[in-house]
Amino acid sequence: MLGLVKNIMFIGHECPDCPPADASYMPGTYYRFVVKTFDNAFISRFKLGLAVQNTCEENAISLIVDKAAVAKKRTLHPRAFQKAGLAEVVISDSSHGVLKQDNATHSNWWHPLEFDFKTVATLIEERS
Amino acid sequence: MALQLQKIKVIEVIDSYDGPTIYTVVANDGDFYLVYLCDIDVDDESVRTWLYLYTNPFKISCLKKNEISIKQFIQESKQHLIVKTTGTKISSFSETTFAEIPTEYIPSEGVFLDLGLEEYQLKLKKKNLAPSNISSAHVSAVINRISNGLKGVMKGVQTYLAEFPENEPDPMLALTTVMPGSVELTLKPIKHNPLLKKSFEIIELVVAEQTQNLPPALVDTVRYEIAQMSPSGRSGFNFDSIELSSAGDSKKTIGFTYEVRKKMKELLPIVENFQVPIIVKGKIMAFDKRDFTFVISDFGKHEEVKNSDIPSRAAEADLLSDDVKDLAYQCFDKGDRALIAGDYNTKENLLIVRKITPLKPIAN
Repeated sequence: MLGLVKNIMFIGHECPDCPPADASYMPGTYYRFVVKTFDNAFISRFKLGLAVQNTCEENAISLIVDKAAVAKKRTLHPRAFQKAGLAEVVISDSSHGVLKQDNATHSNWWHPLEFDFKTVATLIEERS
Repeated sequence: MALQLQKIKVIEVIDSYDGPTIYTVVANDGDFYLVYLCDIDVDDESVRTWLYLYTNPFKISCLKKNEISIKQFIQESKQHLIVKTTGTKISSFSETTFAEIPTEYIPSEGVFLDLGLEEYQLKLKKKNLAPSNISSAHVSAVINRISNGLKGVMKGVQTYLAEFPENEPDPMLALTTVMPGSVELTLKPIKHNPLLKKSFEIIELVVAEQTQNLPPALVDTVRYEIAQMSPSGRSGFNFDSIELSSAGDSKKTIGFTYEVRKKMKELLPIVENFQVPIIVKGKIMAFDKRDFTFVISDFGKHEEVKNSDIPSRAAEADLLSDDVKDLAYQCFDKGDRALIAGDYNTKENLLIVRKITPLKPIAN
């Protein structure tokens, strides 16, 4: 997969290993919480200042793999996620970037640097 | 229990979203905490509120097995700290009590972690052996053997179910936790692999004898690999039993080795009634499990017996019920008493069975 995209600059390009070699094009529908505004919802944790190390994972954008997992996260962290909005992300073309699923419910997403996330993301639930 | 937040070390990330949301840390004095995300500031997402809960690995294990709810876990913690962070820096922290924690920070009663965790617990059992006497070499040997067996099952699932063609048939398990005062180990896949999860489901079905919807060849493969994983004196780690179970759901314990051995013992009387001429009986001097090559010694002579596919030959000959066929999959060890039945000259219909208890005389 990386052979197809090696000339494209990805988010996290400051990290020499981004995106990781075992990330791949994984078409599907994913979800992301909208804590503040939709426009600011797709920022990596490194850019948010939440990470110390500039690693691939910290430069990625977290996506949740299905709606059941979204509901679970809202139950587990009621204050943090219950009132957050929700964006649907439909990955359907290799130009949308690469993902790596690291557990049953969570994937990391690296999209090309110049990619407009609104091409694939739609706000489906407003913040309450 | 004076926690120095600047000197904590992350031990395990249990759940994450934009970084860890539930994780364990150990402080410089060895105290152990669960860190739990409570709040994200809607105006500045880098401002977060956390609960630090003083705990121990046993309690963490209970939480992951869904044996206690999150609220109960928080309630039973002996120390509660509310920590606020901005980015990666701690901006404030204060000790509190369970009663003083804002209710909106805590999940409702009856909410369990229940993350479908992809991790497995390995329990090693040996009578009269203190956990401290089990060496790291023993543990490595057990993990290697379990990993090899799982790899065989994963290959079988890929071959016979044609699922997950792109997943690597390798469990790649890492040892994450050794429970103090016990021989319980936690193994976690290094990389998310749905094929591994499916393989555990298949193992569970085979152990429960719910195999009607599975290809017979896959069932055979899984039984063979389970037997290879069983405790064995020959292997150098002669535990009474080794159990591998899914850590995420305590209700679904695979515990396959114990169950398989128990079943084998129940089936032994069938062997004693086996109405086939006995060709050789004696001690197994050497046995290659992959090759099915046996060297049997008795009456002062050595016989080498090879059968590359005992189960299928036995099935072809219609000599064996399924129960007896199962026995052919068990592990053989050097020094085991064995009998060989069938036509040894033509090497057909050959069956070797191991006896755990001394053989009774069987009339030809």
